[in-house]
Amino acid sequence: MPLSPALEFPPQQDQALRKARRLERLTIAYLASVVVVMFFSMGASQAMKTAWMEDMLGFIPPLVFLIATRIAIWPPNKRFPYGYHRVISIAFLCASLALFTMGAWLLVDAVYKLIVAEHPTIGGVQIFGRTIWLGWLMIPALLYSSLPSMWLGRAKLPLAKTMHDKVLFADAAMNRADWQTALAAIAGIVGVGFGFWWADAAAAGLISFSVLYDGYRNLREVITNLMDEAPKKVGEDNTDPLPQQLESLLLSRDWIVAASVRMREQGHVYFGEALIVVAPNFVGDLPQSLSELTDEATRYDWRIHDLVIAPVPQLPEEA
Amino acid sequence: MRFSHYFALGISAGLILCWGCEFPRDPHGTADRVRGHVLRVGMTQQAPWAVEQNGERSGFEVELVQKLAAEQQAKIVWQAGNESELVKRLERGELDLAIGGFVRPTPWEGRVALTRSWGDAAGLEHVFLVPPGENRWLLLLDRWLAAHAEEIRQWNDRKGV
Repeated sequence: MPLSPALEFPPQQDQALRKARRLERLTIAYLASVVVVMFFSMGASQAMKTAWMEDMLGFIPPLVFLIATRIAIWPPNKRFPYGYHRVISIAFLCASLALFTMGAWLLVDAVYKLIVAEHPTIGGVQIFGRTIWLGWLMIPALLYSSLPSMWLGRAKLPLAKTMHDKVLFADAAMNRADWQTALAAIAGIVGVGFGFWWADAAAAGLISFSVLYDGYRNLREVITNLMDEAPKKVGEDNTDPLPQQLESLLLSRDWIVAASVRMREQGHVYFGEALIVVAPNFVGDLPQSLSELTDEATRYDWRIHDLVIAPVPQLPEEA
Repeated sequence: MRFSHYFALGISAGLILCWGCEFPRDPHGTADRVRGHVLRVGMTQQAPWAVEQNGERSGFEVELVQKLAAEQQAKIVWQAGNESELVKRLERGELDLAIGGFVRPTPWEGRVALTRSWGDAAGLEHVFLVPPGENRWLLLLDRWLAAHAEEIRQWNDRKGV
């Protein structure tokens, strides 16, 4: 049984992976501290609760990334001849589904609180022998939950592009958007301070909407991915031109008169087939030429991981 | 990012302008309404904390409320009722405070607000019930109870003997 190549990453991507794993471990440690700080300053604020839930959900992408990048590089074997690349997509599916469900639940919760006109209670808290309004503690807690996270997101983004890792990209995008969550929650708390009871639940609604939207976007991304959609680069809506480039590469051989390439994403890398029509005047060792051509194609871009080049009498009609 | 800058600027400006003014405020203005006017207190019988006999009220929690009302220059209007009635009236904003040996944790938490607690000789954490979301009023009570924590403890010690 032919097995896929074992090597996942060339050196540059490997370096990015190591850096990303460090950042994700840092993210987990940071999130753990955020969750504790938020929990103790949360009180009865719905917006704080929603922001806290979002931070809890924030654990999923880094955990998924750390586990999946470990499994994805397992070498292929007879049971899994295509390797373990897709574990990333499966993990991503679970994470997006969690995000989507939680967003929907939080939105319903916030709307319910608005409908029944629940007045959020934010009382006093004892600090160093003085009783101060708990709202004053919530604001720095929320800032702590967002500012470092923006920095983490910014550091992860280029790594995600280098590694072609969509889990890391989704995580970075969520981190970067954290300031919106924090600002909305702060506005809700300040609003309550001014005596507008609805400000808190309204802010919670806005936040849950952003969670829901994140979940929806990621879900759409990963489902189309698992449906073998034509590959897209990380963070871009257009299809990756790589299959076309590969076609041009094949056509640049004088012994190939026609070529057609299709590819699909398997986690970090692309798998695909190339159909070629060999020139009638071709003389030489066809299997040897094909083998050399395959090597050259996979060297063309590291993402071309597993390519089968098949000579055919004529190309099928393009859809 | 531009939006966030404006937003942060707006919040800071609002807070600076409001420095020293009333913050947090009550959605229904309970604290302002009580001061110099009327304090509507719901009471459920729970000896020795809140007792009513022949129209005379006594007990530690009654004394505390009387002291609070005196400091707020407010006249107390008493209302009687069982726990769930009092909670319902608090929710509707018909009461400013409810007493009667309520201790934390209570099943009413979440429906109404609880003040800062004080411990009795038996180790129970006593609280007053307050209308939900009246944050200025709640903070006022929390501060008042914190300020009188020492008295409350001494009173408890005497009773404990």
